[in-house]
Amino acid sequence: MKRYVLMRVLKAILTIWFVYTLVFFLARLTGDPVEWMTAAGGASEEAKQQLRHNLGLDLPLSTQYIRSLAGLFTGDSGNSYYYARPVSELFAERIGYTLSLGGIVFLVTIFIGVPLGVFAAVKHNRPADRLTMAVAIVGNTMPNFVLGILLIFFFSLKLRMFPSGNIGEPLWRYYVLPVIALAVVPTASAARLTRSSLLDVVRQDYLDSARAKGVREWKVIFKHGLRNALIPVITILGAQLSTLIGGSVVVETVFAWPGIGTLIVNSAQQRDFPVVVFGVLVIASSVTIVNLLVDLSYGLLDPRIRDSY
Amino acid sequence: MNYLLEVDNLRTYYYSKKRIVPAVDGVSFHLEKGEVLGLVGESGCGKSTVVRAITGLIDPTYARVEEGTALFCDADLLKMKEKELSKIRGKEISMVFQNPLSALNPVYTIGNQLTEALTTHFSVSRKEAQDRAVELLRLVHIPSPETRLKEYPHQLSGGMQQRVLIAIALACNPQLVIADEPTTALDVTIQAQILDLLKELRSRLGMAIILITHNMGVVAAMCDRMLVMYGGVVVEEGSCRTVFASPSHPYTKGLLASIPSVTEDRQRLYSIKGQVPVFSVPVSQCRFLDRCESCTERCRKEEPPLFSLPNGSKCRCWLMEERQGKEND
Amino acid sequence: MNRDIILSVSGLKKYFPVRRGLILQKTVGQVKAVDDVSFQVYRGETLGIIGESGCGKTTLARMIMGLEKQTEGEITFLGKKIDTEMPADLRKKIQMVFQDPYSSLDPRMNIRRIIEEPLRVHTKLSANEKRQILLPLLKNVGIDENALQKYPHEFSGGQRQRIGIARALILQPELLLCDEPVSALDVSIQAQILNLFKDLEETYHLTMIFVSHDMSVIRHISDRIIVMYLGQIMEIAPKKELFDHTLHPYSQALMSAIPVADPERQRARIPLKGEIPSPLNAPPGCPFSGRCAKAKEICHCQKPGLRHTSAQHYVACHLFAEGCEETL
Repeated sequence: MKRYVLMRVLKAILTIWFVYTLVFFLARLTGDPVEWMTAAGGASEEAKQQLRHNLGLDLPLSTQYIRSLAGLFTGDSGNSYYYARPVSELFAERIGYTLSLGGIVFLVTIFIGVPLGVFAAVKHNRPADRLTMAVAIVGNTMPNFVLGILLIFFFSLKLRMFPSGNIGEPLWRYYVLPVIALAVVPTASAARLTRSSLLDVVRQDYLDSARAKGVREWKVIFKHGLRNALIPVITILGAQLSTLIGGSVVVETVFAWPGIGTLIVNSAQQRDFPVVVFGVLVIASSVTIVNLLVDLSYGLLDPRIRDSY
Repeated sequence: MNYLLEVDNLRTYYYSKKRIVPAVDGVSFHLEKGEVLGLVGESGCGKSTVVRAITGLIDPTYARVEEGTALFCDADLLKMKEKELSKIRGKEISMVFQNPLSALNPVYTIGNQLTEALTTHFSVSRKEAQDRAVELLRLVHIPSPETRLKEYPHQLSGGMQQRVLIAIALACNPQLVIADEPTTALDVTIQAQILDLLKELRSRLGMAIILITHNMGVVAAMCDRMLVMYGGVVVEEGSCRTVFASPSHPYTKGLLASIPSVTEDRQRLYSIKGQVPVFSVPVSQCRFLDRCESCTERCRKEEPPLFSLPNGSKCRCWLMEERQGKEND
Repeated sequence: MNRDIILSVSGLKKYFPVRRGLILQKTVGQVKAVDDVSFQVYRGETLGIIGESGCGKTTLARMIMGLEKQTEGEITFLGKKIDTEMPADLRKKIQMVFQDPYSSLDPRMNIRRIIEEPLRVHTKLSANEKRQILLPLLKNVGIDENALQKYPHEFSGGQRQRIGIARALILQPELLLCDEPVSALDVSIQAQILNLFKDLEETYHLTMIFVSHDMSVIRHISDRIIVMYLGQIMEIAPKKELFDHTLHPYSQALMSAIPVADPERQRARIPLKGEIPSPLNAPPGCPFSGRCAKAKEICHCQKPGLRHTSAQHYVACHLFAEGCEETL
């Protein structure tokens, strides 16, 4: 088991390094940041050259790459070309907003999506099941930015119940609409997956043997059924939620949310390479970490998988 | 005397889009305290449905108990609410299932599943439950029970898994254990061990057993009395000795004759022609009709009742009409 | 007796490696599914192979069918060595009937296509010629020719097994391999199919290898019987000889374990302690030594060879070591 975790962590580090390298070089293909920064005009060729020298852009590409990589190990993520501040500082200011948003969405998915799925499975083929699933399918197919715009239109422009975006006081009111916009799809798919997975499990003999022991029906479902049904649910949810932590770029843009998603998008437009590359590093790391956690949770849920490590 | 279990006119139908299938169509039987009753028949004869109906384990999405009573210690199981029934299940009546691996939950330890049977019905401390669990595993001859408690089902062999299921069934000292094909999924040498274990436990603990099986050899080895089922009804009932020595119903005769023997060589096996038809309600003729070699006009017109025979057996066949003592049913 | 050898298996082994690890997988052990098995099949006989789960009977059958490549050893069929790459003209001479009549038939083909499939693969017969072969075969296996357009799900288990048998027989194979063909069937249907095999054996002069876990089925169908345990042959003998003079303690235990359908004739069982060991950590000596009541010291450390005891009777047991020549 320990060996397994170690190997997985090594693999994850390799993946992150690979993505980092790829983006480092791809970003350079988009053009010269100095040209963009001086696009307003007026800068002399010497001033541009000086700027390039200051940013280290005149060095050979390989040197830039090694410096940037070495910087990561010494805790120096470089300075943003645009903000002229350390990249890590920029991210530190914003990651809290992204993580808290992602975290709340995660909780909503687990505590609303999964129980809804259980409810539908228990009421299998009855009206309650059909209704829940109809709603879930609609939710599942709704793109989150469309939903975001609709939410802003109704709840903030028409009804003026919630602010349309950004952040302010009281804090919770600013979270409501982005959380809804982001949570609908994962919650709906969690509900559908939990339902179908639980319906497979419900046919298993061990549920009958639990009933035959006199175990009450709700406990049969939650203790004996759900844990076995959760593995496929976790696989899909993990994939969906890992993107949330990376910052849901489009939704953050819609709500002008001060998270890392908007930061990365803006920086990409501005050819602010250090920010973009670091941002990709953060996203890649969070995706890999979530995947790792998902894989490890299989072992926690199912001893048979634990034994096969 | 009062019976431990008395089932009267039990009917359970399966509903599908095409038809209503009389899975159990008027089954009556009784069980004395400490008796071992065999429920025999081929797949689809309704033998499992009988016990699932009386223990409330049928799937309500397609099956329904239509009528009947099942008096267990004078209380009707079929009239009970789920809550009352679950107080009896596992405590007074417990079950052992066919496939031991799938009947144990793969994600919980043996200890967890064993103590659950206790804590569901009694408020016992963790320690007491643990001790009782060890005692139960000893009872079913599982070596080093303390370590086994911490293991998961997949770490045990099929025979050990079935022993664990039996231990779970015995946890609350039930008066009745229902074993549904308990040895069918096991190898013969392991089957023999499990049958020996069941016999030993029965003589030590004195519980009654309903043994559901398609294997005539298992019935002969285990049971005092047997019911032969076909198409949802009992076609023959009697003590094992009588039924094996002188089967009365053409189906029972055919079934016994079609088993290849390990002790003697036969050139050809007797074989019952055709296959089990799918019935729809209402059935108003003999269910075995198309496969029977001695069927008459009467069999087509009327379903025979269970006739009581002089040798103590009961048989659902018109041929028995003149042999019967008195008409029954 | 006809002694024409159709199939000969010698020193056949199949080891499955057990691997652990994520990237660089290490082989940590071997499952010896079939371990040094030798026997012959004579023309016209039915050879029964009996054993409990893990005895290797199915792997053995799959190797003979060329579905699995042996680790070591030789299979000689009609005088030619065969493995997974058999020439088509040999392959069509071995056909197989599977255990599960539900999953061995393609649900999207009607049964005419299913039964005729081997003809399409191996011959270039016209539709009419195929019909000439198909119709008498259908009659012999007991399928109504009006049912040819139906699909497998429209048939019962017994009928499906008849379809599987028809498919296996349509090329008139020299050898028919049956892997637990009646285990999934109800008793009354099992009797029908067993009788069918007996009839077909006469009609087509079949040579069969019949694999089963059920001793009574094996006794009924076989002329000669091989008893297997944990990948090895414990005993080979003609049926009568095996039942009249059962030698190997495992064969004896296996026979006594079968519950007899007669309450008056309940025999004393030879109690077998313990369980079938996993083939991953099979004992070094006789595979049965751990459960054998008569095991001696030598049984735990030295593997007994298959020895000839009397006419056509071979047993692998140290109890019968003295005075017997080691052959085969």
